[in-house]
Amino acid sequence: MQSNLIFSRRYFLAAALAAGSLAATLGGVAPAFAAPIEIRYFYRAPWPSSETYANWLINEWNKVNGDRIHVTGASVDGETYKTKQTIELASSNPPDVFYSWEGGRAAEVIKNGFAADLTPYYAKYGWDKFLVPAGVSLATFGDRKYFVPTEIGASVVWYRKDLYEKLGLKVPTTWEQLMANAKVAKDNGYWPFMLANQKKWPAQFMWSAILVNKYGLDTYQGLVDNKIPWTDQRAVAVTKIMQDLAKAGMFEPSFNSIDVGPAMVPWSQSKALHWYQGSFNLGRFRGDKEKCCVVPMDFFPLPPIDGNKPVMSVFAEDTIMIHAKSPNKDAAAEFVNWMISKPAMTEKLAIDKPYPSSTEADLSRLSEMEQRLAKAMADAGSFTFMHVDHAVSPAISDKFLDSVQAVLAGAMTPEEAMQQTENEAARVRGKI
Amino acid sequence: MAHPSLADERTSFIRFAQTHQFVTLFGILLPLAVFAVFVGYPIVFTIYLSFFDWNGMAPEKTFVGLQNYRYLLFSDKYFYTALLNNVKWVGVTLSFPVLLGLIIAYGLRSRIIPMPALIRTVIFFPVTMSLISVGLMFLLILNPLFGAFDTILQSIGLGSLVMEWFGDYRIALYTLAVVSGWAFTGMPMILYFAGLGDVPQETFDAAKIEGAGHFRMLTQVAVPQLRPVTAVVVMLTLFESLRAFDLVAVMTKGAPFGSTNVLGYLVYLESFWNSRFGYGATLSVAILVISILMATFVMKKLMKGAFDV
Repeated sequence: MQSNLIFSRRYFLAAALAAGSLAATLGGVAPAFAAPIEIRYFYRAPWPSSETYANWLINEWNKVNGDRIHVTGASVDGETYKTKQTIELASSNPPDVFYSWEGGRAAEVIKNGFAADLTPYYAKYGWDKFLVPAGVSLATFGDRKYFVPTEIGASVVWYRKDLYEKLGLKVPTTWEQLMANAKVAKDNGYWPFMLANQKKWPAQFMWSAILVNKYGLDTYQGLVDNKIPWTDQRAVAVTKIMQDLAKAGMFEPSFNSIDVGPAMVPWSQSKALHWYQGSFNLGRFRGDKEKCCVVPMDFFPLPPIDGNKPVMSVFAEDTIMIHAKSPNKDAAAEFVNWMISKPAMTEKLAIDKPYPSSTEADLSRLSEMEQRLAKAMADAGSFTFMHVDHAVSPAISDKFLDSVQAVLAGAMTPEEAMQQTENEAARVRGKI
Repeated sequence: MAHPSLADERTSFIRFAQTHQFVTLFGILLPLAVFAVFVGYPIVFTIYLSFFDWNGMAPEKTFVGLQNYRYLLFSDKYFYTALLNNVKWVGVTLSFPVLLGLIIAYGLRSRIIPMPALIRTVIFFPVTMSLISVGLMFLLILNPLFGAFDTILQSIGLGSLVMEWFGDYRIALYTLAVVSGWAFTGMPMILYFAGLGDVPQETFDAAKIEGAGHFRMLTQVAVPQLRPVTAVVVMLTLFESLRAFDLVAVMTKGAPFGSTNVLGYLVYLESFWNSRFGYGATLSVAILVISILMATFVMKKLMKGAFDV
């Protein structure tokens, strides 16, 4: 009994020693299972398809790279992203990769030190070689690049091809021809233009395009870059043009009560002839159909006014930044590089909506019209213009949008509207 | 009889605390600490922040003294529009849901309205709904293109009453207030219904024998007896109106051109949208001051003696 016990102890000690030695030996040669780098991606999901696409993007990345760089996503719907972004960016644990806007909002984020300089990553991955030039230009502040555009858009005049045929109209090449077509539409009981201005941002599209085409890109840039006051006669004159269009019944009735989504109903019911809007609506125009659109339609750029050279607005709809405080910027950049890779951008077209920012994306699944617009955007040059709410800070744009809406409702004169905008601008940036 | 001095009160509290340690700790000190952290500190910090210019992102805040208050009082037209809108909102909610709630409660108690249990449930149901859902629902109902409300008006020959419920700046705020009233009517109704239950039936019987009809019984018997309930209902309505935010945020976002802004929404707009947290705090302080003034008025005028009935 005693000897059995001694044997057992010896046996146990020997076994433990052997096991320990084996573990120590193997530990020296076995690979170290280090935890993957964790990247947090904070994004805006304005459409249901945005969420589906973001999930696909993250899952595909994690399938291949999850053991090395693991990405976790968190989304906020389109309306409230701006308010949540401030809190997230300033928090003690900010996201590594996040959605940002272009223009004024991006400038605020950069100024407050939240955006990492991506210039070295542009060089490393050669992003500027395949991204749409206008997108790269918008990402450049001074001599540095701070964001990567993942989706771009353009504003054009959408028109109903069937109604054009029915009314015997031709695609206009001048402002006067466009107005003549609008008058024919009105005389025949159609709404010449959809506006759908309930949320007050849609009217600015036409406003800024008219200003650029009538007074030139420099004038518009002067306004949004705080070199020309909003009370400038040219800004007042454009507001007056918008007012005159409203007074002449060129927009749908109750345009300040109708939002863009519900406006698809009368658009589909052939009630309106034109709609000056962004290409981000192509998802709506496409509806359930695989290729655009549910109704026969096409587009043309807003025609020149007074013989000036027209400019089409090309803007970055979705943009991505890397947080300046991220400890894993290289890993984050690798993930961003995946986001704008050819397979990811091509899939964006399949799941989400046009247009991917990469010129390498396969556009063959788009309709002929959509492909034509993609080409027009790629050919638009390195810089066009952003609409007011992207170009300037939210405080100024909010007052501007309010003011234009008031003019269209007949509650304010164009002079008062621009004075109100200028007052707010002066509060933000001081007097010019 | 002499009033106890402060020293006497302190001694008596210490004696109470020594003999009731559990109640003192969990019933007084802990709730006080929670209140101080979650209510007291935010109020103090908001007042502190109102003297700064801060965009919510930058680590440093710029001290601007009374500049935010000067702008609020002398330059901000939107503040006065929002304040006036809150007053209008209070007016609508005091007259429409409170009055309607009282009438329905009386109708239910006096069995004028059939199926009282069902009607009570149906009218109270919107109180349990989120105002966000209510807002989205009414956006569809009042939509000028395909909304059910306009269609019904047109189908019964009242097409001339169709309006731009949200787009016309002259009526948009009242539309919101009425929608809010629709969602709120169940609350005064249920309070008045309970209050009427406490009024002795003999009082109504006596009035009936004296030849009083329903109108006189409601106005001359029920209303005076319901003064404590009315005081509570009015106070609830006032503070609900001052907190109005959800419907504006989901239905109009202040549009058309800021004509439906209310103070609560303006705080959100300035702080989170325009990145002016300092000025947003100033607006919050203004709401605090208005609330204190209103509470003082309610306590001194409406509540005084209301519970002596």
